[in-house]
Amino acid sequence: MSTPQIYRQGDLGFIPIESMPKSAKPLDNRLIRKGETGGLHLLEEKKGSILYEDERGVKYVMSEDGVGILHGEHKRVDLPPGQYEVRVQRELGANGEQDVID
Amino acid sequence: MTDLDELIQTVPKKDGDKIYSRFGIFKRKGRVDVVVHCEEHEQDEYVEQIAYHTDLGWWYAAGMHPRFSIVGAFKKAGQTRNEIGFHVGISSLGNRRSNDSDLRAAKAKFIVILSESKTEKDFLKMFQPSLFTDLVTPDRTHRVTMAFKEKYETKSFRPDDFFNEQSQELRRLVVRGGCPIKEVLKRMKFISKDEEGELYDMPPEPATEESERQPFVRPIRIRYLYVTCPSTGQEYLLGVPDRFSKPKEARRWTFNLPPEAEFVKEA
Repeated sequence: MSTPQIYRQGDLGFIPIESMPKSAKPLDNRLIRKGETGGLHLLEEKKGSILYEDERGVKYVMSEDGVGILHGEHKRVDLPPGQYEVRVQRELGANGEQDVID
Repeated sequence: MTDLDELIQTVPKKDGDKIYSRFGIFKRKGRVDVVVHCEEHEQDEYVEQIAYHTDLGWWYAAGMHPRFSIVGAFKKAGQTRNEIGFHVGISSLGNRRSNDSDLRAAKAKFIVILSESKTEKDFLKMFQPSLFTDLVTPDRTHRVTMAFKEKYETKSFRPDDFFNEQSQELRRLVVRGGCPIKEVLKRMKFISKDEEGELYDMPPEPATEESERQPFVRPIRIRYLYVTCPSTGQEYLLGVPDRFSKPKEARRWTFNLPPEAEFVKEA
């Protein structure tokens, strides 16, 4: 198994995957996630690039020719063509795991 | 007649009689009362039972005749029922103040404030920093004390605020609210460092009555991963399980990644 190659922007990791779950449905917007300070992680508006969400609320990026992930404070991250699971960074609190808020 | 006048009435003295049924239950005029000795007025008083046990009893515990409804005052200040219980020291709130000695200290502090309050306005003014309020951030609304909210809005948190805060959620806000992380790290126990960050432990807590009574109960131990974002320069202190001894491993855990995963592009 090859070493997983991960792309990260702030508290979001973009994990290359072979295929999305069947429950993933395309979204008609480009908002990936909103951070605590109000910054938005957005999918670049580009033909052939779509944001998906599955029944658990997990998001995915599908891009035929590669696409940029944009944010007001973080630098742009360019994803090569492919499919990616968007994974939110987590941390441990007194009540267990919780998402990091960027 | 004020509301309190309806709830409290002087017990008439009969010649040679003395009521020794303090906290006894009396059914009078269609309601249930207790008899309480008022130290301030040096007399026995009938007090409506529920009002005494849930509200006015604190005045008598402070040696004073009730001046206003304590529950009413807290409700005017927007406090919930659970928060009122927390303020008077009869209950904890989430993971705030969860041991007996903290509850005793809270009760004592509450009695002191009550004894120094001439009016409801005085009382709420003295209690103001401890009253709970909503702190709205872009992501969610947090319930915090007024003192905490002020420090967050003025970005004036100090390292003591981080270490005194029991809620990990609020510790994150403390870090966002101007608390100098480097000064926090100086007080923590350094574990290790690599190219991806640094690991620290909280300073060991002093033994308390509770921990001595329950030596086999191991609380959740949170280790802290210190990382700096390469694009924004923002510093982060992330809670991670204490089983990790290397920052690189701990950071993989935060993204639920295998140890061998590589970050090829980061911003």
